[in-house]
Amino acid sequence: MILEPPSDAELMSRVREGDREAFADLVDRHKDPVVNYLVRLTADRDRAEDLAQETFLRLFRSAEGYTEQGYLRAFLFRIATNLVRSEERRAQRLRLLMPFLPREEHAEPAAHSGLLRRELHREVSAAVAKLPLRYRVPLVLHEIEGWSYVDIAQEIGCREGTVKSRVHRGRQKLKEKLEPYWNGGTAWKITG
Amino acid sequence: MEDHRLGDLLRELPRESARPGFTTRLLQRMQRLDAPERRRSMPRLALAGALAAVAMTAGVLVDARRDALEAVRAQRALAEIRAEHGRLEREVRELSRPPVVYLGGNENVDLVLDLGKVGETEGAKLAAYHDETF
Repeated sequence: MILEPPSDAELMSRVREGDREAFADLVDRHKDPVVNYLVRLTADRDRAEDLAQETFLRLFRSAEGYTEQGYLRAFLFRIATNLVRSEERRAQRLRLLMPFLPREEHAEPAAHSGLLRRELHREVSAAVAKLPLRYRVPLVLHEIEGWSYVDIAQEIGCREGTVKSRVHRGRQKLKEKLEPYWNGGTAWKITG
Repeated sequence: MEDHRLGDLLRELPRESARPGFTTRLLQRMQRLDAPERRRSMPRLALAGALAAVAMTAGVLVDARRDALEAVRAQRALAEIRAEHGRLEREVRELSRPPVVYLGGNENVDLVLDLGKVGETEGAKLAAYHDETF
């Protein structure tokens, strides 16, 4: 007889009672999608990992007030999105105070195709991370996480048409950002 | 760039995973976050404990001093009672002893009548014991 793993709702109910083992199970179950989502939003592996940790900490702290609606991952993504939003607002305020921030170092283009592919990924990730959050979140949820427009609309609290429009606008903006790299770069021609 | 190509490119991005030990690090971080609360509450607890200990010690000392004083007082009272008891016992003994009557004598001989010894002599009876005498 194979025992069914406990559902998210069951684990959350145990987390509410302070059960850290149940919490660890929940973290193990959702950490990869949350980290992936945050890497796509930030294009920064370390930052994504830190934000993912903070996301789970907030889940633990809000466990008492959490109402099970059948989709914990959406709740986690919402926390993660809010964290990115808060962090970017802080960074924006900081930029206003410090106009001469050091510029990011640009890695030299690599000759090897694997490295070029990684470079392409880095460019795309960086371009996605530079999109305004209102386009970035629906674009990442739809294109990368594979959410439907309806689910995204429900999650971010707007109409389905708005989501479609934002995904479209996000794509356009992404293309604009990638255009220079596209036209002048060699990475695009790499296959496999 | 075509839309579908962009979509492919986005979906082609490698799926990122949490680094090994993610959950352990998170749980350790939670413990560290719990610790300052414990540390913050520790001085208060320690202070309260120390105050309680001082109060208890002071209480114990006061109680011990009080007990010692009471013990001393009790011992003194007992000694006084015993002394009084001894004194009374001696008086009772003195009073209950049959008197010795001095009958007369000179420089060489004292003629005394020890009524106690008279009482012990067979046949002799103290006049005072005879009802008819009094």
